[in-house]
Amino acid sequence: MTHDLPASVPLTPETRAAWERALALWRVQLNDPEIRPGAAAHGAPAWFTFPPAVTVDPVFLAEKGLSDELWSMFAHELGHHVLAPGTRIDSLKITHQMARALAVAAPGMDPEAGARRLSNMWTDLLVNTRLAQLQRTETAATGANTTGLGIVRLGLALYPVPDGSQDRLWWLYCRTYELLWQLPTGTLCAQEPPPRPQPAIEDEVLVPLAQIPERHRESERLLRAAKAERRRVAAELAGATATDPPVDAVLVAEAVRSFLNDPVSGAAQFGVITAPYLAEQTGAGTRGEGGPQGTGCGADDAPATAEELGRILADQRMRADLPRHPGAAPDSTEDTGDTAESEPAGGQRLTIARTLELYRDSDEDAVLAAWYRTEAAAWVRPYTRTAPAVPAGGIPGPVELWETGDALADLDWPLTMRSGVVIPGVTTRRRTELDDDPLPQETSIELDLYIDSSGSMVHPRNGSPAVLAGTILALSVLRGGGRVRATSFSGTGEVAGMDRFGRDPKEIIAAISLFFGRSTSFPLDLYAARYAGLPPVSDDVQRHVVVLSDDGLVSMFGVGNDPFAGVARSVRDSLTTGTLVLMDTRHRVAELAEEAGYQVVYLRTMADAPAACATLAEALHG
Amino acid sequence: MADAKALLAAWSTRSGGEAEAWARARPGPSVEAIATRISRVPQAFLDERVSLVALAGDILGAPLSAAAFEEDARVRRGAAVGLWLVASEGLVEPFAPAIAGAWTALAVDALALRLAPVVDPAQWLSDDERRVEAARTFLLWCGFVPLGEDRRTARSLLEACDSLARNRALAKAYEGHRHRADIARKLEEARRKEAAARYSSE
Repeated sequence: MTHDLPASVPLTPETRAAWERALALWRVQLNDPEIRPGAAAHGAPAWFTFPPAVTVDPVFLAEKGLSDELWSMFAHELGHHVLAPGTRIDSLKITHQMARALAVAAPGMDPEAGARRLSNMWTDLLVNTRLAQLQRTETAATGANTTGLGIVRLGLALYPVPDGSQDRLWWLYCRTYELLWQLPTGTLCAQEPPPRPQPAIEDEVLVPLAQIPERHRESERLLRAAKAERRRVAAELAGATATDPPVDAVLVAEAVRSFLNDPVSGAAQFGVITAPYLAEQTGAGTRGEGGPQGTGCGADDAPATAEELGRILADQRMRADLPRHPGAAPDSTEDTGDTAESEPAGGQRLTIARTLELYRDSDEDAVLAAWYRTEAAAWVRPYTRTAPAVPAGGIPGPVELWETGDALADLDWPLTMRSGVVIPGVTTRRRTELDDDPLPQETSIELDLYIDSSGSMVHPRNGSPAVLAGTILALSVLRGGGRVRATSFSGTGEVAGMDRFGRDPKEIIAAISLFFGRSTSFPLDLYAARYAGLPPVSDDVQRHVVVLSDDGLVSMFGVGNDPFAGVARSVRDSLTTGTLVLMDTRHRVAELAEEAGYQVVYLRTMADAPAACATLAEALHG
Repeated sequence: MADAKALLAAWSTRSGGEAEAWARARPGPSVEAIATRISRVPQAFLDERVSLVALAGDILGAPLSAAAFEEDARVRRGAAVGLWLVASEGLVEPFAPAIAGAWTALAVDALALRLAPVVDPAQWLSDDERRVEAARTFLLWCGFVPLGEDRRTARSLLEACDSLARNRALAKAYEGHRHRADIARKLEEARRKEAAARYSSE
């Protein structure tokens, strides 16, 4: 936001007085604002960034004859610091909530721009409503009416719907302000909302039936009839509007009043009400113009960091189902509602693809790692194995003679003194101890994990069951105190990952989600080298290998790689367990795996991953 | 409990028309003053054992139309809140300007027959928005425009918080959503049929 902006100037006494008045209103302290005269020409007339900092263009207000409301503009920006979003992580969470609502209402829409627009509108609504309450309290003594409040004066200058605007969302936004600020109808927007945009008609160029081979003609005719019917019903659905600006404005105003102190939870409600408006614009191929000064003053466009992504995706509010549209019939809980025709499979959480789209400016590996880690979190359990039993003493045994040369501490004086005389080696006694049953003990696991990242596997960006299973497995081993070595492989020479066992989840998940997308060739040379010359396994020394792959894993048993044909079998001899987790519907690998002594667990979808990991946990536990 | 439609019909007969009410309205107390006073209604006024006829007789010295529906708890409580506003001028302090006048009984009936059937008076005490609606309704039918507002503003703000209009709009919205859900189901069925009609050209 600071690119090519006019230079910052020092605060004048008047500006400082306005700033201090705004600070006093919210009862907070913050570093001095940046004053950049003329900045409005480059975007918004004022904005708030994280770490908390306020920038304002006073010339913009002067030109509108509102110099005396500089303090209200400061107070508005301070509201973003105090109330909504408050923190950068909450700001990201609010945007995430909007993206979820958009994913349901407008699946084809770019989530980033829409979510940011809704997020700015929601936080501005919260701030301006609270600010009006504070200013009303401050001016109560003077008896100023609503339109005399500073933020309302600013709103009247900044928000009114421009003439000829067809943006129904902006009309709803302005109407909501009228309700919240107790302004007469028609103050910020026309009495009636703009008409609904006409949805774009889906056209399909059809080959004449005569050009279709005769044997397919009847099938084609039936298919075309089914398509035509689907298009007709889709057009009917598009015509049955889900938006009603006057009613929705009332519902948004109620959401603002209810969630004034919980912007993140309320964002979901606001998103559910307003996302259909963006869907409407997208369906009609139009864009909302917003207000005369854009749609908000949030200028923090730094991408989310890996840590922030983890915190956002792990928040239960981001994982819970979206609230129902408050305008939907309360007795239609069984219906498929608005969401049924467009709800992405897997519920109302953002899919990995949409999450990547939303956080496209963040590091892709970090987004993938955070997403898989969050998805895996519910299934992570401490994986351990049974440790060698250690005999435990403690049961009193028979009395024996204590002889000279035995440890003095072993002498049992009460028993010895029963004879009345102490004669070493004759009357001296000692108590012996017998072993109790060995106590069962658990210890951690070292897991050597290989994951196939050839082109036949699902790309992690598209929701990979193998990556999810690998993540659950690795995190569970770490939770049990163990260590993991993750290796991703594809074609010959395409091997990456960790050289040694480690406990850093970031490094492990990065290795698991690495994707080559080429041919499949299990790295038998590396496999042989890693396990060459190792002592046999025992109760103390245990080795576990898990390979996540598909039917291309026949290469592990030397198919197409004859010089290494016996490696898998020979390595298996130095392992405690060897398990293959396969997406192999034809069970092509089963026989080879059995011959070489490897157990096979099958995996088909993301939903199978937790069950496959539970089976593995049993195998690893022993 | 009386039917809300019957109560609203009784109010329609009693009110004499909203346009006339706005026409006679003159500057009165602020909405905040009335709303604050509503929130301070004593429990004794809300006690169901107190006769509404007797209470109205004591405070207004005149009968209320709402008394005919005294067995309806909402009507009784609504009228009691209105009577408290009138009585509070003597018990607490007079509003500025005082509300007692020719239209006071009509204002009490407005709360009992126009608003209480739509929003339970218990909500007037617990919900700020509904309390403001009650205060604005009372002021209008008492012959006042709230302090600091002109007729147009006051009328617009009362319409904005009118629960009856809101409920009608929501009912319309419910119907719209239900209709849309029906079509969404039809679309799913059409998609299934289209998927079933696909064929292989090999």
